[in-house]
Amino acid sequence: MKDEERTKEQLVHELAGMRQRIAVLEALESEHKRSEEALRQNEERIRLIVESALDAVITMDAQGLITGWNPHAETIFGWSREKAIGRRLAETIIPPQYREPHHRGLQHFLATGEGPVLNKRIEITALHRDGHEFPVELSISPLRSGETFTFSAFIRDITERRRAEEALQRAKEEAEAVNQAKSVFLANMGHELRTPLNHIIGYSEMLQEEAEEAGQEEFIPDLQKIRGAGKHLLELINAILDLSKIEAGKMDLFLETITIAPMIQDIVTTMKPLVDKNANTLEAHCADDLGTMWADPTKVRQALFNLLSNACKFTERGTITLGVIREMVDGAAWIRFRVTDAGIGMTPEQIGKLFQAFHQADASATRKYGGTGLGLAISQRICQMMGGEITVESALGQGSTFTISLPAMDVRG
Amino acid sequence: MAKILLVEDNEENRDMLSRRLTRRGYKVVIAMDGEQGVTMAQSEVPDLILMDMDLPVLNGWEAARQLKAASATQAIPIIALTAHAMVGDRKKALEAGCDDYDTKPVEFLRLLEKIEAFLGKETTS
Repeated sequence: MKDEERTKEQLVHELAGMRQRIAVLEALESEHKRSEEALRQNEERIRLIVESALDAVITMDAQGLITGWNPHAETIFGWSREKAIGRRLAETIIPPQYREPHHRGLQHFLATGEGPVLNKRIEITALHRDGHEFPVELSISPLRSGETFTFSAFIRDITERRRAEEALQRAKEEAEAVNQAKSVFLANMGHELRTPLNHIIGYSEMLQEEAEEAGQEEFIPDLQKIRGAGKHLLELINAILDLSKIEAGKMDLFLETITIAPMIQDIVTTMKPLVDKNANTLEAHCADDLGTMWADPTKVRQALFNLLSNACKFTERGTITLGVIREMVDGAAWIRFRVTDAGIGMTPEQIGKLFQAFHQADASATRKYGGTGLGLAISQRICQMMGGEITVESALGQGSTFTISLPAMDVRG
Repeated sequence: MAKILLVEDNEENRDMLSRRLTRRGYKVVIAMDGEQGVTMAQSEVPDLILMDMDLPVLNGWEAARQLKAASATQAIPIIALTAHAMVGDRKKALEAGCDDYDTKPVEFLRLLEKIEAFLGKETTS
């Protein structure tokens, strides 16, 4: 009886143990099912992402066979998924002339792990099912799975982008050619315009001389006006010619060593009549260590004359200063010519337009002060040709300071 | 009276320069192209030559070279006149043997100073 009791107890106990184990197993199984379901859902999500991608997504195994082909790959290459899967990738989307390099690259990667075209964006030519070739942008990533590799490629058809780029390039080239033709036309036209204009100026001068000799003084003011108008027109034509020459890249520099201080003295002397015209005073300050510079003397003078004559034009009964210094910037010597006037000054907005061709500070200034409106644009461009620039500081009613900075470019450093 | 040979193909330029120089007491002889310029320099033996560089038949650069290469004409000063106010032209003109250089349009008083500088030198030497 006792044994019987024990056996029963034992059985109950074992049964409880088994129930427990079953519960554990059931829990494990449901856990497994849950994670399988999660995995399945995850795979489905990835599949949907790949399916709906706007790029072609293609996978290939280490043997070079296509293993994955999304709908966009069907669109851009013309092969359906059923037809594409299992085909050799090279024969499907790579033009014949690139198949051999592709094959070598694949073998090289499998042997060494080196793949210079992998994991980056490249642009190549692809082959459509109908035989036409088109430009694509693609990136290829190798994925190791166990002992072997899978390659996935994201491919984008860039035919439209290429076409747009080419159209843009063509438009740019055409615009440049038109601009060049315009400059050549202007240069030729300038010469044609100057010839008769020179005759107008020359004959008005001659008539003036003859009127003086014949004692016919009453004609002289009119003849002077003809000559003045002719000179102004000539100045405009010359400025336009200069500008078109610069823009056509035909303005040559004639570089030589310039001793700066004597050049400044010479310029001050030449400027005298213009300085006196508005009862101004011109003060020149040259630093002692100016020395020489390597530049085109005619162009340096042209830029300085331009700044100084502007200063004279816009100042009345005031002082204009021309300060010249030599300065080291990052181990290179620069010459700075600083022209300060006591003139009408400018607003920031006016300064912004200052170096554009055909701009004076405002249209009424052209009527009041004359000039071509091209001087500063030309001076800025020639200073840039010599590796420098013109900068300006000004405030309305407080005068302006224009600075020409040019590299000294000589052995003194 | 100093004699100036003016080599210039443009009628108005020729007319203006010759009239203004004549009025100032120079004797002006005229050639219309480079070849004629070289011939007349030999036959007229002028005291000075004003030569346009952009000439038909034989251009001014070549004419100047020929004049400076011939013993009969090499001592005659040549002032080159070029239509393009370019720095390179000055160097080019001097290399061709010209003694001085001026730009067209001619600034008559400036040109006159240059002429007088040469002819003054000629008479004192």
